[in-house]
Amino acid sequence: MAAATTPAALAEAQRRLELRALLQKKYKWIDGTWDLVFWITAIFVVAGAADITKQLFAGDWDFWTDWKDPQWWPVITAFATIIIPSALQYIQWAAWRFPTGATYTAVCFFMAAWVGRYFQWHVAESYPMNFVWPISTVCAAVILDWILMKTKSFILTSLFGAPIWALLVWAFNYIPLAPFLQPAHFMNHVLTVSDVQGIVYIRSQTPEYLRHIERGALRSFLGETQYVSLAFGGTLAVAGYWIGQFIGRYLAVWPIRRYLKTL
Amino acid sequence: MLASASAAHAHGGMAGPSEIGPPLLTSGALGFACYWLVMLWPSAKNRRTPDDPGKNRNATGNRARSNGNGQSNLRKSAHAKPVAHLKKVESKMRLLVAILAFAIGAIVTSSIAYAHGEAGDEPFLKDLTTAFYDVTISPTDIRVGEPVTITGSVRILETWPYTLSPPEKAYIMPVVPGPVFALKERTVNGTAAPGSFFVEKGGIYQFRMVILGRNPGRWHVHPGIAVEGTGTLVGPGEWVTVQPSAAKFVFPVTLLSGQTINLNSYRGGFVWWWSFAGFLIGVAWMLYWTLMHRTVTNLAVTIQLGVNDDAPDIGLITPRDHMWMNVLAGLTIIMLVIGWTYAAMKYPVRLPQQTDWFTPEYISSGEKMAEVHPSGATYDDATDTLLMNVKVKNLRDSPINLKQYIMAMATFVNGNNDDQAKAGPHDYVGQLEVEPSSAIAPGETKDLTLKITSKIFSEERLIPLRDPQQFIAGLLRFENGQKQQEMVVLRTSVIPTQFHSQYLP
Repeated sequence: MAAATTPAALAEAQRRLELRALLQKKYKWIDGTWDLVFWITAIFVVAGAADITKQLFAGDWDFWTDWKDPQWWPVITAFATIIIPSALQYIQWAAWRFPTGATYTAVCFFMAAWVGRYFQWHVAESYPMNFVWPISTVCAAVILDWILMKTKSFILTSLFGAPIWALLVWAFNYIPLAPFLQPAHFMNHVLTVSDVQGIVYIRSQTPEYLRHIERGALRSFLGETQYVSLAFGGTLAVAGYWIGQFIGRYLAVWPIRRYLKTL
Repeated sequence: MLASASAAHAHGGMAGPSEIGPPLLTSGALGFACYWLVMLWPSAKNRRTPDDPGKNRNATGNRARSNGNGQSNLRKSAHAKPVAHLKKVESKMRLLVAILAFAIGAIVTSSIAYAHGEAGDEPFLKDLTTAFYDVTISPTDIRVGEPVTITGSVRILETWPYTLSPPEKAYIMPVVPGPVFALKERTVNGTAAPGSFFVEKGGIYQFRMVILGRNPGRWHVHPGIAVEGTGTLVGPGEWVTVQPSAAKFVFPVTLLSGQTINLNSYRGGFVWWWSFAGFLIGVAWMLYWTLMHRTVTNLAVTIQLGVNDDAPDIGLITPRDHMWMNVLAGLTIIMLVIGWTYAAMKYPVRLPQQTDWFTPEYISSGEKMAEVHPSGATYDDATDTLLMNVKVKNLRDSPINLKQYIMAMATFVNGNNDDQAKAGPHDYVGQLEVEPSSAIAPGETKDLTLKITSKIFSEERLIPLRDPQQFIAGLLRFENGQKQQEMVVLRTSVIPTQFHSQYLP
């Protein structure tokens, strides 16, 4: 950085020095405990918001392995899971300049999803965990936060980060899904292991025809449905990212600022 | 809400006083007792020392009348507000304890709803849509891992209500409380049916399912058919007891590679460890920022900066932060590359999920044997008695008899106990009385009165009592001397013989 020469530049340099001092100031009453209290209490709110949003848009795709298909799963899931991370990304970046909003949401969501899935669906309902495991968005969130840290721009993060989010959410969860896509011989048919799970573990109110999965369309792209879906999912994730930004900016931060101004 | 939960009847209707009474009374008594327990609980003893200025407080906490100096009166006034507030809080707390006790009582004493809610469905949804018959569920006492076979037929009735989408796709499955059984085999009209199939009005679908006991317990097992746009329609059920077994439940599945896996646990550990490893990277990311930086107090600085300013000179995001975040992002990518390489090498053959839908072979309802013209029906709610009048013409050259009337999941048999035992699960079979009882001669047209008295009507809510469609439908099963049979659809309006007063619309 060139040395400040004009009075305005000198004033700005001085202001930034004061801000540096302010950042390093030791507060007597607002110590690190307050930080801890904030981060821990927010876990439940953030996990709940992330989980509910996912349930609303992509509930069944996340619940069952036999719904995790090449056509719909990459599209719906990316959109449903980026909304709250985006909102938290704005809040935490704007308030503290932390590139942590997406990762924090993903970590909270991971814990809530596994606790819920284990106790409600495995222990209480006795579905095996290898059939009802929840997806993880943590790795995609780390990269999304990394992109925000590097670009310092929500626009660039939405343009590059959201499609990468769609790709990574799918890629990370496709790895544990892969064994369940192996062909098996069952009832004189060739089915995937995930199909067999869907048949064997009875869901009386979720008949097979309800599955929104690929049924033979989109086959003109050399059979590579998932890449077409990923491209579309990436575009949709950009929209999801801005829905999250709207929530963060106008439903979270703006009312708080307005309230603070009235005090 | 909690209190009304206990009212859920086993089949989805609302229970009567005998079922709902005990839990409500018990929980009410519990709430009452707890309320007075809290009210009469002795107050904490005054532990103040004789020198304590507060020693003159009386039992309610008010300062005792002093010797008249002004300071004492001031203090009294200052204490009055908090004391009144505390009393309010205390009374609310007592009420809360009583409500909690009531709620806990209601939950604990509620009877468990075992069955599947079919009584909650509108009568027309059961009567006019399908009819299940010849259902068998056996054996009814097994050990974990042993099979139960469910067989029977379901007909999509020609009387399918116009208020529902026409039946096109369906899925036959066991209706059980969750995966307490595991489905091993399923055929529809003799064809293996792992998925859904196409149906039409008038279609007859013979099913066979083999389920394996998975969880010990006593479970209500029904066959059911889910029709797209309509939901799951339930057939007659049977209680099946699954005894524990020394051996752990396993479900072997053979992959096309030749490998046999246990579906119950296959790759469950990998799913968890893979997800958890990714989670750890996220935790590391969060720990770095929350431990290496202050959080709450940053706001004083960030509020004075533009949102695109990460202020490395001020210390908000430093080059050191960038370095460590690069490391974690790099680790994430490395993890993904390793994971993909592993998955691609270990599971080289992968398929998309399969959707094998088919049209089952046609099954005839039997050679034309009789012509049926209904002339109305009445239903007596007090005695659960259905009376139907029908005109039947024998179209064959030998005498025919009316053997059964099949309605939704119930079968009513014109015969003895042996005939009834063969007709289906006991709880869903009743007696059919036909007047006159003599056979219908070839070419003869006869007016018959069918009388059925059965609790199934009210338990399963089969008869419309005040519905927009006061109709019932079912199948009349005729048989001739050569044991040939025909199922004829019957649809008739039904008039309740009495109407109950309604105080609410």
